[in-house]
Amino acid sequence: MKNEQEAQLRRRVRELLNRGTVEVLLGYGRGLTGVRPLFVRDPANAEKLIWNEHCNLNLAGYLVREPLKQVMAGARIGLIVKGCDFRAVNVLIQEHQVERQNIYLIGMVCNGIESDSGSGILIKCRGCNVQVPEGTDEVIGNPQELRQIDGDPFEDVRAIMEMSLPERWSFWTSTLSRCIKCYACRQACPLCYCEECITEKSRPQWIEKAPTLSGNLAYHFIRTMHLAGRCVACGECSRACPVDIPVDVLTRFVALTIKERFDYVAGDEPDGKPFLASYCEDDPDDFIK
Amino acid sequence: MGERPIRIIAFLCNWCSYAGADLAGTIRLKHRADVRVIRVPCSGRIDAAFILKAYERGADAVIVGGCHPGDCHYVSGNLSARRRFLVMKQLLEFMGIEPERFEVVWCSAAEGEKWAKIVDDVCERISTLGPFRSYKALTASVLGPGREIVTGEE
Repeated sequence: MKNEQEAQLRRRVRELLNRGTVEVLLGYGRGLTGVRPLFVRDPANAEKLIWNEHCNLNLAGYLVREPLKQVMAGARIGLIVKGCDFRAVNVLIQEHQVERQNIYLIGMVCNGIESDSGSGILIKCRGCNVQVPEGTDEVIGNPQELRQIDGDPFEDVRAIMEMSLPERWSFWTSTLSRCIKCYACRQACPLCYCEECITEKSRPQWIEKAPTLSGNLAYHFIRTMHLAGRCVACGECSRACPVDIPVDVLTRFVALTIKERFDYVAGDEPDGKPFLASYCEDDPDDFIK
Repeated sequence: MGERPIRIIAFLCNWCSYAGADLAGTIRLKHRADVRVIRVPCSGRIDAAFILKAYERGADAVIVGGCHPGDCHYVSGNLSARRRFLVMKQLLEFMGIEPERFEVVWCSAAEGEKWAKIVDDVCERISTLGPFRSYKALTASVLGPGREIVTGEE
């Protein structure tokens, strides 16, 4: 089947680079085992860009990663985003990590992303309401050809919520006992950009460095708290995990809680307020004595 | 081997809850002595890492206390904290920790009696629930080379 959207993308990127609207463009390219990030500076290389249902990467993280941050400083950067990735960009804008006028966003009309394991469309794609990204500089693809993705995007989270307390405890302690604290989840997360992370602090040492279960639990608890109201469920963390811990289930549980209790979705608007840095007078307080 | 008494850590804000706990003492109220108070500048200062560190070091429960909404010395520290506490409480429960082990209270400098009652209530509930053995087992478990859990003696 001809991939009209991909052809359209390549055409547009060539134009944008030729005209100098963007100097470097971050998109998807073909890697050895799948999709990889591709940086395009030369218009001729626009042909190497790809777009298909395997483009699961969230490229927003490159905007705040050293040394790319320095390499690209001052350059007008083009970025290819799906609707969900755009939310991560919005969070970075809300937190003053990225200036909206310094980036050129190409939004892709998206029919859902396939999981790497071949089990169909990703759970997070279900019920997606940003299949046509709004607020990007331009949109590539035909919104008329959209297929709605039905289902519950929190199915895996709810499965754990339905367990009893002791079941949840043994699920997480046994799952987290696999953690080797490689911090790949932190490195892969587009929103974990602190130059000095609490895990590296040793005076005081909040997170044990020795391979203890309590240290693993503390790491994941604190990581999740640091993504509360920020996680956009891109799933980079879980994809990066070498021991297959579903770390995004933790952050997506918090996202679900915040959605249900505060009607807040991370990165919905570029000028929205960060969740934990703001409050309402009538926030829920039924849990306080 | 006799069971050691339960141990509860309370993080109280300097301006309201700590003064409330102080008042309980000044007016000679009696409450259970299983609670240890750590004074913080504001409930907004209380980080998730504090709670976990307390459990790690042997706390059976943690109480966090701040000013009533509208009374914060820094205007809105407690209101920002309120959101964080809700998320923390939900996440602890999601990970399988009993909700009783993390309590949030608003307690003013005039509410000595409320403080005494909260301490008694929490101590009562935690005594029934028992010490936080599952977390202690965690602290004692070093993950071995094959990632098996090696449980040490307490």
